[in-house]
Amino acid sequence: MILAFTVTANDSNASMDPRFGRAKSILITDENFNGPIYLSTDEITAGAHGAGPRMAQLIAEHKVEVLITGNGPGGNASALLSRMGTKVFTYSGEITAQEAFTQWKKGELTPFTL
Amino acid sequence: MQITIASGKGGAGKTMLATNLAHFLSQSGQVTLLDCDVEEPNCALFFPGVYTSLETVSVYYPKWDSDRCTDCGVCSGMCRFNALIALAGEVIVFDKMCHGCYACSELCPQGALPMVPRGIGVVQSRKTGNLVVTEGRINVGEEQAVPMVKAALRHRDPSCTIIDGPPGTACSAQEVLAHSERIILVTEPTPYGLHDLALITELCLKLGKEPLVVVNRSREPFGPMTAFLKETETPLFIPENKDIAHYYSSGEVAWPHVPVLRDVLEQLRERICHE
Repeated sequence: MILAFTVTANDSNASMDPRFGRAKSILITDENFNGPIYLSTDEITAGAHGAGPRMAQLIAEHKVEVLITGNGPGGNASALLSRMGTKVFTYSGEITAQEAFTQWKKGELTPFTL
Repeated sequence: MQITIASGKGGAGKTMLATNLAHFLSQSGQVTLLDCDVEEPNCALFFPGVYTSLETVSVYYPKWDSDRCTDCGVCSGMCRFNALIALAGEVIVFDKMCHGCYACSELCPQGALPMVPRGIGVVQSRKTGNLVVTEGRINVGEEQAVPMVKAALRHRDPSCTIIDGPPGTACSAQEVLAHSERIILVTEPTPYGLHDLALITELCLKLGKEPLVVVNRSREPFGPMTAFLKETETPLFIPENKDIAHYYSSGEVAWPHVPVLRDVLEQLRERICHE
């Protein structure tokens, strides 16, 4: 199973980035937190328009099944993610990707709905 | 003459001045009052009647043809607005984000993205006496006002049009200002009024048009605004006046009943008609 996290830096101990479309980086891992690898989002966040849908496309290209992010994606991005069957979860407070993973594993995260 | 009434700050008195000025000028000739504040047009409220002309306005956006698509992804990489996204086996179009540039449609090797129309609003007109009132009205939920503003601007009367512009300094306001021969900026003597007046004045000057400032609800002098106005064309002042507010909120033009407003309109006519 492939998981994606919106993060503020390329480090599993870095804080999560609450933003989806304008997240600094995307952490990709599996259900045992192997890896992880990081996807550059510079090209997406540099654009003035439609960062959310582009980010959803990036998520789709990596066949992500579970996305964990803070504020939740907007309407257009959500439409794409649900089309692909990606499950989206949100957390609260300031936590690291590692902590978000632990909370997800324990089933403590909230499924996101618009 | 095409005169636009604009304001950086909303609620400064733009529509009040536009409706009163247009009605005042129509006492001595044909005038078109064109409401380009397409997201909330309200000039027509002051001139009740039946609309006698109606034009629907459409924009064009790409519609995905799944039978023709070969999933090459050319379209998706090309859109500067990310209004269409290619997923595996599918292209999703967000029609309201599309700016109608046709790039995806023209460059799709399979012709799988034909452009199709979508109605975004109407331009409608009615006439009372010498005054033609025309408004652009965009549909609720549309995200881009500029195509609607452009459609409304096509209804200008070359002899005399008073345009009620969109507030602020965003794209739709710029579209209107760029098509104006004369710009009247309405502001109020407050820090907020001055802040937004400075922004829109800078915009007008960038467009090569020196605006005329009207300070509405003028009370005791507001020092920083007085200093700012020293650098502009001599401004006009509408004093704070409860009667103007009363007539405005009743949906009536105030100038026939309020001499101080009438004075300002006469001065405006002197200034703008003698150029």
